[in-house]
Amino acid sequence: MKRFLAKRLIASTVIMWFATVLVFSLSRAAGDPTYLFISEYTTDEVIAEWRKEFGLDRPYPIQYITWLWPAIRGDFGASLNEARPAFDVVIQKVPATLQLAAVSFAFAIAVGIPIGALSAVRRGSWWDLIGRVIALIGQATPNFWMGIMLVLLFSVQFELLPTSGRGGVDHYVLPAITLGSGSAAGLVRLTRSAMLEMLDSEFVKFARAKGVSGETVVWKHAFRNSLIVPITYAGLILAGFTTGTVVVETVFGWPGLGRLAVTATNDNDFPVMSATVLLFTLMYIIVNFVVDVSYAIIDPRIRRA
Amino acid sequence: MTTAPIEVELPRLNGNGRSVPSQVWYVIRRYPVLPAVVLVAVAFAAVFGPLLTTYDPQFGDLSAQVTPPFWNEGGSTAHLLGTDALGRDIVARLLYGARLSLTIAGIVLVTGGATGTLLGMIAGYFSGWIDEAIMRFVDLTLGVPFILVALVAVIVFGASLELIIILLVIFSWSGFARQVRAETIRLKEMDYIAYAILSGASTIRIFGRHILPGVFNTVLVIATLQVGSLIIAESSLSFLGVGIPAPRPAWGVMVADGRNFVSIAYWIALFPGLAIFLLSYALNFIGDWTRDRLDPRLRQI
Repeated sequence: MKRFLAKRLIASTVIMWFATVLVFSLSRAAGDPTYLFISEYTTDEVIAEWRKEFGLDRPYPIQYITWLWPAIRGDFGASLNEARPAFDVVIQKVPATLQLAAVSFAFAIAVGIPIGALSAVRRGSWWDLIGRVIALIGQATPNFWMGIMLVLLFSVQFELLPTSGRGGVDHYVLPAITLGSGSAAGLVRLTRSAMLEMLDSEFVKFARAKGVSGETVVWKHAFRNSLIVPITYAGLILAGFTTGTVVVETVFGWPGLGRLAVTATNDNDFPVMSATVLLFTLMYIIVNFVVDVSYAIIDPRIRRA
Repeated sequence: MTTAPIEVELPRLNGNGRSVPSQVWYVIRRYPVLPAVVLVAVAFAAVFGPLLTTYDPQFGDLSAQVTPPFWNEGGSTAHLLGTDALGRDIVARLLYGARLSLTIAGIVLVTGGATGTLLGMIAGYFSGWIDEAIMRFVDLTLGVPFILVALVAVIVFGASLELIIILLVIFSWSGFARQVRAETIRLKEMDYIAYAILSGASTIRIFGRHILPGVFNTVLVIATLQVGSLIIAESSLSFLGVGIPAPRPAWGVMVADGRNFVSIAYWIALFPGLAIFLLSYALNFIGDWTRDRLDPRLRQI
């Protein structure tokens, strides 16, 4: 287990390092990076000072270190758009994104797993049909369009829910459904097939033959064991949320990291964007690390791989 | 004693012993008929789109701004699905958009598929440090959130058609590389490859004649499974304003155009989104079907 942890930790660090190299290389890819870091409305003296400080005439590895070293401690330079450090702008948006992700995750689990299980147990019933429709819609519908259509239906037509922004519980409903729908669809499919496999397995048949009642076999024996599959999918769900939050937060004007990434891109605010990317990558890596380690705890075979 | 032939009134059967409606139903259940219809329709629009409409997709008629579809009050059959805020015909933009979507998906799949297949074959065939290097690189590209890297690239280079194609290729090749590598490792243990080496076939010949045909099904399955998500990724970037630049009629851009008018003109955002949904649904369905047909072992992905 220790070896496994060490290996995963090294792999995570390498990915993080790769992300910093990627961001740095992109910043130099188009030539002179001065205006990526400094507003064009700055005076010539300030620009000259900045260029001297960052040593644009020195070799790239040195420039990389000059950029990376402050960045590790949270200094990405000043935002080009707001008169404060880029990191402050970014870190302020984290809670909103995490809250939305948590609610969406809960929604995906609460819808996906029960419906997936029920559609396997009652094959060909209404539950199965609902499961199929969710799987179909959730997988093929682009998030941004689903969000707009939900607004059209529930905010414009029925005037039930707010169109955008962050506020009370009602503000979470539409964004969470939009963000969670793809994952819910995946969970329905996975839980359904895992459950069908379990219901067909020898130990379930044995339990039935022994005379255990139908309901107990289904929920205590088959369902519990088939839960492993959707749990292993949880990591992929959270990873998928990084793309999802960017789109969903933009549609619903949710003041989180994803929307910040888009506004920073539109404003060409490189310091803010580089901080956002690295922070997102860090969260992404932490999630994957935690998920990997928890599989290893659940399933000892993974530790040896 | 002779038995007289017994005559029984049989229901009308055809060759397979099923009645006609049930046979139609059988075909629909067995083959992806409806998705194929959608796909053929989109492909037809992509090829013949300019012949099917007289409107320009990029320049609107400012006297016909925000015209509703023909079944709504105020709509006319001149603009079947209405017009957007700049008076551009929705049908025309959808037709030209189909061409854009399919062209991009095609270029990305061919480039990404070829790169991934080649690198996957090299990794699987040579093993050792080359394999390590390629596969670690795959892990790295999958370990970094794609959309954010795309956004940074847009800040640096500016949004353009070329950039989005390059980004999507980077997004797509690793899936090919992983599966092709696994398949190549299985194939290279086979006797016929050993014979080919013994009879002095060059490495290039072994790749081209002996391994490529063996991994071809896998490549085809990955490609069909990937198109749907490629279309969604492209339209998402275009929607965010960092993909295909306006005024090109990309479906994602059209949804973005309609977003601010959703309360007064639902049709601007509705139809392009519906088009993305139908296309990606059809592609996903055909992808699943191809996989089950050609390579059921890939079912876990």
